[in-house]
Amino acid sequence: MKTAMREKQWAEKYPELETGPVPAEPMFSEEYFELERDRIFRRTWINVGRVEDIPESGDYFVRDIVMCGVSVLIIRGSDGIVRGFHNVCVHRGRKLVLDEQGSCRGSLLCPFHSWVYSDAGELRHVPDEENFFDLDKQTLGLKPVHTDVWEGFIFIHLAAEPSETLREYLGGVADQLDGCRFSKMKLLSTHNVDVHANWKVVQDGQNEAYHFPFQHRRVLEGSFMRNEKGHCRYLDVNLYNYHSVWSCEYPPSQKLTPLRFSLATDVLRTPVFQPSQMIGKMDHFVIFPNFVILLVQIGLTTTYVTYNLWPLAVGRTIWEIRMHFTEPVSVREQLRQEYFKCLTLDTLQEDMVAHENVYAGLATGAISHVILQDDEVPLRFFHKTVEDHVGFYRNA
Amino acid sequence: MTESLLPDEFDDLAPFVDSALESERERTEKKVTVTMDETRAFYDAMIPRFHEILDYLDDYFGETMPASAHRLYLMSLSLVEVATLVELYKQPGAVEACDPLRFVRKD
Repeated sequence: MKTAMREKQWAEKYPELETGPVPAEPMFSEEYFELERDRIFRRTWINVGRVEDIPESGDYFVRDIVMCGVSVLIIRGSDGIVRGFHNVCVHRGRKLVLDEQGSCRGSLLCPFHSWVYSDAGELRHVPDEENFFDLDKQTLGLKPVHTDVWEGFIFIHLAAEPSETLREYLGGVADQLDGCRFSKMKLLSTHNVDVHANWKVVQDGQNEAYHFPFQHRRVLEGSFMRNEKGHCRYLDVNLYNYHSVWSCEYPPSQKLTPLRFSLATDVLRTPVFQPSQMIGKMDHFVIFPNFVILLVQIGLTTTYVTYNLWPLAVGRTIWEIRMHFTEPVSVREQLRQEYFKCLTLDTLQEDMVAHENVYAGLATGAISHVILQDDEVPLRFFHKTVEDHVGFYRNA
Repeated sequence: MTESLLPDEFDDLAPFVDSALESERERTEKKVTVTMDETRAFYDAMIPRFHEILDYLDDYFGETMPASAHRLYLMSLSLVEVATLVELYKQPGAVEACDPLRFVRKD
């Protein structure tokens, strides 16, 4: 399959999404945000990290999910299993672990009264236990949070009983990306940005290529396949149960600058790593609701970037950006990776201005709907998926 | 005898050794505070030597670099960070972009 340049092809592929305008209110309504808390973030599988974040037994990290008012402790037990718990001591309710990440040697201790838990969450020791009433340590471990792992990505589910397994939830995305060897790519950098925008506005701002030739007219100049009028076109768009991917190809030749030329001279020495699971040269997977996996081919190798969007309030989101690369084989390749990181950050710094000003504009209430063109079909699908969960208009 | 700041064959780049900054944060801070003329002067000095610099540094790949080579490596990281200003944006930052320092490196 090659990038097709014709117009309105995605409305043909996905006629059920229709082509009308999309309501703006969900992007700035407090009421909608409150509904999203229970109907989306407590009812879906949420990515919280990777298994490489906790490689050894006793390694842990904490995710405070502000939107849901929970603090989740993810820990690898002595048996190697990754588990999730509410990060709360069951004695008096103190937050158990205060650092964002760390490592314990087999057990976790609550500093308040020195209650001790195993790295599998079992209550092991209670000082002055004899002075309690009918205390049964066997039944009093840390409160578990449903936790599962797919291809090294750790997900949690905050419902008492998830209605789908992680695998069922990921559906076609898992089918597409199974075996992609994400573990071959190592984390180079993590950046957090405090964005003054609704989390869906941030998701939308990244979730189409229509804006590339305008907002990113210099940084992405000539980077992706365009039609004769200069508009980006996708190789393909795939919509799954809740998730989506759009894929781009590169043009036959890319803009070569003096820096790029110097960095590229040993590019053929890089071991080939091109996962067969990729659809195009850049695949933008949105894993509903707040997670993105961006797979990008660079030269002979492949990198991936993830975004986690953490809503703090209706108009405030922490945008977490992680970049992963294969092990470099030369200083040139190290610097190529650094260059990719800089270009990506520059691009996202441009996106930031859009995110915050789109939110500011929408929040004025001046427009009731946003108007989407054919290449903005991933947004159309995303907003439908949001509303399918929230049901704000269904009940109206 | 004191060790020279940079490897002998790159001695001419010594005026730019203040771009040998250890952290991404420091490099980004420098990028956003210096003038475009200063950025261009650094770029113009480094770029014609960049092949040679990379060949030199690649000989140390996977090893501990001597301090002088390490400085050259850090200057190369700075070049990678600011080259886009000269080559693509023609201005001190990306087009209509937020303050880069709002992106806080976590690791």
